[in-house]
Amino acid sequence: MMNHDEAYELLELAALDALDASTTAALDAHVSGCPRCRSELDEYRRVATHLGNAVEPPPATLWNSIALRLHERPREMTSPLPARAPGNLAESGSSIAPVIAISAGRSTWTKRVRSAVASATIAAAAAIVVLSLSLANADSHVARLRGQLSNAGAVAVAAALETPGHYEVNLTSSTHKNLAQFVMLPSGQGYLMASSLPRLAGAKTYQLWGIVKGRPVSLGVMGENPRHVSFTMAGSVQPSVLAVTVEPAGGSSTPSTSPVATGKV
Amino acid sequence: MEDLQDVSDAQLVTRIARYDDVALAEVFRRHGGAVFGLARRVLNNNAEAEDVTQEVLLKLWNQPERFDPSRGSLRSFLLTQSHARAVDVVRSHEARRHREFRDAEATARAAYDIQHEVWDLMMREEVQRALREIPVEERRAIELAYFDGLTYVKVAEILGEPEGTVKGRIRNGMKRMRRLLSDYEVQGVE
Repeated sequence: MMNHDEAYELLELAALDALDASTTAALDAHVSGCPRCRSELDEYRRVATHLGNAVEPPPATLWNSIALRLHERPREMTSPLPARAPGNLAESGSSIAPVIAISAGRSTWTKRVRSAVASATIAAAAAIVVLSLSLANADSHVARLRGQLSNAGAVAVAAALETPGHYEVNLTSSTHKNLAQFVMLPSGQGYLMASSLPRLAGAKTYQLWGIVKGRPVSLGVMGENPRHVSFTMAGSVQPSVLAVTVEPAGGSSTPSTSPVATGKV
Repeated sequence: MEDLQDVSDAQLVTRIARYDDVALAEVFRRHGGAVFGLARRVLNNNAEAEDVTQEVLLKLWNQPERFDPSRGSLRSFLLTQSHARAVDVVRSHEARRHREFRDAEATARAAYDIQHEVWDLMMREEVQRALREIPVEERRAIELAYFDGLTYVKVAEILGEPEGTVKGRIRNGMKRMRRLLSDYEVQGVE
């Protein structure tokens, strides 16, 4: 175990990443429990980043590459439920109620997960569905990024349409008007291909649901004017129906209104 | 809709924790060039620098709670991540790079000099001034470690100096830089 004096002598070198891996690990172990060393290391890292702080224009396609990878896998929830990612909740033996995966703050998300677990005894469904949804809303005020996000969404949809085994789900209103169309992949990923859902006014959002064994499971909120939406479902049970409802901003744990659009999967 | 250009970095990270990918796009717009630039400076390879930049941004997306605004700016946090990851890549390629370096040492030196000059021009004036004020052997040791991703032991080997000497130069040089930047009232990178 590295003592304080040994660690203190290495802080300037650590800030430059100029130590070998084993020394870095030993130093990190000390620094994590030593406020003085941590503070000093932070100071030297600031000095180091002055050396490294010169901007070069990144390649034009780099953001698209990043955007396409954002939802490759569900985010690991390390806090405040460090060992209980959504999938782990299911593994605990509880049946799982709907999980809102996006647009709720992390604390709200946690409350909802806890609530879901608490109500598990009355939830009969055994479906294990881990869902995450991403939104790339083209309404960004950052004009350049708007184009990039839009391109990323279009690229993802185009790639999905070329994937063997893909299928399409049309969501229609009660009067059979086409309102949204999704492309789904065998892997469980889905993308919004087209939408004519009207922009919502006020603090409201569209929310996407999957009906699993007769019960609605949230696939996530879609925003007030959905254009580019993707989601991932991992689990053995696939929804038989997709549905969209209008909910208060932030979404609901169960649908509070009748669907504005539904479609058989 | 609120204009993200007026949102602070810390607020952007809070939004990222709520799965707001437009907030991540704004972080990329503000800091992506610096993250990419540093990775490219260390790696001297565009494709690898792009990979590092992706990893840094995706790490922020997946683990936003790792950023602690009380410990420094988001730019500093991201650059620290970019540098550490780039150094990992450099060291994983060390044997290959060593062979290449031996074969093309003269070319590499010329490239280093040009890259060095360009980089210097892009630094803030106060940082350039601080670098000019520290002894050249200290600056050389710091730059070899930081920009070439070398351990101080390797730097000592390259310079043909005892490890203890190089360690002392780097420590002294960093202390001087810290003091000078403080004298010039340069805050953390933003």
